[in-house]
Amino acid sequence: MILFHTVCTIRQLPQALTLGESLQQHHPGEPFTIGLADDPSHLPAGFRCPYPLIHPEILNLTDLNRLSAQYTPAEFSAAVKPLFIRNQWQKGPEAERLVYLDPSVLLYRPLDDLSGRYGGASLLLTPHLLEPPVDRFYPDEKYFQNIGLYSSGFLALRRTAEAGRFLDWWSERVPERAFIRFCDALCTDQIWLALVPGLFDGVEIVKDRSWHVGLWNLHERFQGAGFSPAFFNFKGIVDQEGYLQAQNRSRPGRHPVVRTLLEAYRNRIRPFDRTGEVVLSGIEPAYGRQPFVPPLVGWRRNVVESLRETVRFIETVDVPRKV
Amino acid sequence: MTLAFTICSINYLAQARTLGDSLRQTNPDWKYVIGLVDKLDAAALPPELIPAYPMLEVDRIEIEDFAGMCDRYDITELNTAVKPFYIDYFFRNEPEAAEVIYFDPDIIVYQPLTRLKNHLGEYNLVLTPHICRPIDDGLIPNELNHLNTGTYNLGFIGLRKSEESNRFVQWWKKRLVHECRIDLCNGLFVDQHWVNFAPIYYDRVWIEKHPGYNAAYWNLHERTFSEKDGRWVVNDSYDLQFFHYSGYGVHKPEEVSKYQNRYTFPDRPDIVPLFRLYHQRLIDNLNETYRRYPCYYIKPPKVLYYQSVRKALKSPLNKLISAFENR
Repeated sequence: MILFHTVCTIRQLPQALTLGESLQQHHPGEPFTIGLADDPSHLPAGFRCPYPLIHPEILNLTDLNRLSAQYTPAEFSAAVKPLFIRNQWQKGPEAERLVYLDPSVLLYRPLDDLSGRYGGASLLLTPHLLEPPVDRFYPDEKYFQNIGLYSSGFLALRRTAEAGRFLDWWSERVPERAFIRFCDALCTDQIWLALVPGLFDGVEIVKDRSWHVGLWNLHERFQGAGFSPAFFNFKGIVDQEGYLQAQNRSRPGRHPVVRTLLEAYRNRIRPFDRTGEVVLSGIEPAYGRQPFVPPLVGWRRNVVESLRETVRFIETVDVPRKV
Repeated sequence: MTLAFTICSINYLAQARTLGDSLRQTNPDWKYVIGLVDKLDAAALPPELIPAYPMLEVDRIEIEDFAGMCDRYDITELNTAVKPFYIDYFFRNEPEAAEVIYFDPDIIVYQPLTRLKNHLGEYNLVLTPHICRPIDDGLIPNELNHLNTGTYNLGFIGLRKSEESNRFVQWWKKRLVHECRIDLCNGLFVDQHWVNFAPIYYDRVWIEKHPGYNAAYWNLHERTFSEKDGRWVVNDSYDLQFFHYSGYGVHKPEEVSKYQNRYTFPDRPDIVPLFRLYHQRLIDNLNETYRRYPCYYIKPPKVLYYQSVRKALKSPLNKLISAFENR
């Protein structure tokens, strides 16, 4: 049995339910649970979740208010994510595998390779990039070092002692250190995954190009006709989530195939967005009180970049002293 | 044939000779070359200071933009940036070398490296992670330090000559022409951080977790050392392959490494004999004499005059930047 799991806020529930629908379609009979990184009392009256909705109380966070005060909503979700995953893992051994997927993921076909090609691995990681970018667009490889080379939007664990050790290690570190502070090597729950191939055995780096397609790798995945993703993460395309708000490499809306997928995805989310008169996607997250400041984009970004460049020049240019 | 090499300036030749001596003893059929980031002509070493090992000066390996790199980089950056250029040179000019292995000069090889050689029959690259077991304290270096500076230690890399490893070397070279700098906030730490990408971009990369490889201050928390019948053994059951004395100095013999604060020698009596041995070998290999030679490529420190003028020019620009950022 595979247990699928996601973690989201109330405003992401329509996406999570869409993910659930695609999981039922391609993995019928496998359970799907949702960890709610939000205040359940903010759910509209009459909302019925077709999947078990795990409330944050179950995590026994003694310092929820403090965590909420120090983080942005995205950092807060990331901070509790490993705890939700570990909670699901500890529920019982019936689930031979546990697969975490971002709420913004949509599955297009069964992940048969979980038990096939990758059946022996304890832990599967999907890298953001599979090949070096050859263009000069933003972001470059250095930025991926800052946010983490492996995306935490997907994680597959097989029930082994090593996978359990990983979950203990990860959930010990992340809750208190889910800040996005590149200079301190911090970036939510994600950057930690860079240490995982060294620290744990049975870690496999998934190089299947159809897995975990997203804004960060559209340029390397949609090459040639007939490419079809096994699962697609719409993070940062249909919402403000993720770390690529300032990217200028891909224009998903202008790519014919991506545009079709995107339109179909939007159409699937829509029916889940309403409960009576209430629009779920309009409910602000309860936790994560720090404001999210989106990065500068477009011409503003360019102006600031060249100003910085000029400042650097003034600081370092060699001007010989008059003799 | 297996070719092992190191890179250093004349002031580190005692280390490079110590490494070479250990290789000659443990892996006598390997070829060993010292990549020299220095100029022999300028130094005019007396005969007793010429090592018994071939030296290959950096200005002879056909680095396209070498002048530019000298200009942009300080001595640490330059020494690390030329690593893939040497590998590339050996791939092109040493047709007999089926494997090319890089070691930092401050390493002693303790065993015939048959396991490494076997892996290089099967894999394109062999890399050693800094840590194979979690670190639970916040002392230096900790997990975050490794995230900032690279998860694999580039004091060692083994390469099999193959198309795939050549693709890796060409990519690495390209990055290091301009971006072999230390800028943690922007994802840069010399040549090392880049190699995080290697197991992702390239196939058949072996991540070596054998505790006898690249033992050093950063992995002492997971390794203990003992001597059994004249052989050094790690964690009671693994032969010590090579020890990396990174950050150790003959002039501070009481310090395990200038880059760490987790252990002292009294905390770790098990490593004391390993360091005594190294200390003595460096002295025997004329460390005192070599260390006085200044590197030809070292630049005089830049003095920035007119600070108040610079400040006056910068201030309005910085105001503009924050206006944009706090819109």
